[in-house]
Amino acid sequence: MRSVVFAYQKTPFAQHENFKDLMSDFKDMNKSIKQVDLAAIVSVLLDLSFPFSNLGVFHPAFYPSENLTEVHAAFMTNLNQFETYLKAYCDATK
Amino acid sequence: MLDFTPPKPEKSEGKRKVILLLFDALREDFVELPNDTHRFLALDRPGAYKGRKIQMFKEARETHPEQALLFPLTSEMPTVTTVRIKGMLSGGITNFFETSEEFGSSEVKEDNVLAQLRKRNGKRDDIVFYGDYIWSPMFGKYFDRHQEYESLNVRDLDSLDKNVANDIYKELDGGSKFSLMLAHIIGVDSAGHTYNAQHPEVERKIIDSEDILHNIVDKMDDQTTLIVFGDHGMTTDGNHGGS
Repeated sequence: MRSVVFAYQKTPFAQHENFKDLMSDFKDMNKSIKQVDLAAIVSVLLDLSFPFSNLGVFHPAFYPSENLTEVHAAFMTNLNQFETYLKAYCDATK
Repeated sequence: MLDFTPPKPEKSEGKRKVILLLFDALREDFVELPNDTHRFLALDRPGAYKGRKIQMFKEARETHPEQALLFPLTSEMPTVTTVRIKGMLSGGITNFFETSEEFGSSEVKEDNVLAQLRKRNGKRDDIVFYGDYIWSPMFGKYFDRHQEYESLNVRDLDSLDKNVANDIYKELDGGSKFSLMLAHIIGVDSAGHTYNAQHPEVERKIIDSEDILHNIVDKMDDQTTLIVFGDHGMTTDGNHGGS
């Protein structure tokens, strides 16, 4: 069953301007967010490390800085965390 | 001597706070969606909800697009609320979660956003929870301030959400002294279980819940991001349904 996620702030989302451009390039990305992505979204909002076994990806529209270099770095951190987890998972289940 | 080193870009825009509000059984068609939001459920399908929908998400997207985001949310099976909550805070997928018993360290096994927040900020007034008691066995140890309520009477669709809403308002009126507030309202889900998705009581609880959301938006401060999401939908007969 489908649900929705709604987010609201009293100040603009930092990525609002960038996101308008991204919208047209990443149509699939905006089709839906997965529940498993919420942990990653909260992590970037609060500037926390991604949880060790996180398999979610944050949506860039939530990123709390307009600096795209930072967003890119955060995505790389997100991917590195998957790698660390998957390696540990493979080692543990050998 | 002048220092020509450019100022270090300020990471983020100051310290943000998050209210993560689980709106139990927030089904896609309980919500009025703007045209630019992808819709998964056909509005004319049998059993589609015909009552008054939540208006504020669409209104916010249309009047303040820079301050509001709205996406369809998909969830993995199973649609049991406790499993959903665990997955939501750890970012893990259920199957992985269970097999990860293999890991030696329970700290790693249980890593989630609450553990990360605690690790960074230490124990202080940082993580607050208001809602259904099912969260406590899983996450109670992380809560600095909390109130859990048990819904003892299935016909009572109002008390739990009323109590939770008052706790939230008190927290926001008191200066929003938290980094992360978790909250869980269940009136719509309870109405679905007690009656069915088309019953006027479901519509009444949808309206009540939207009132709560309006009040939260009024009371929250400029540093806070409110995230409202549903854990699962509701089948026509009022149960949780598949993915």
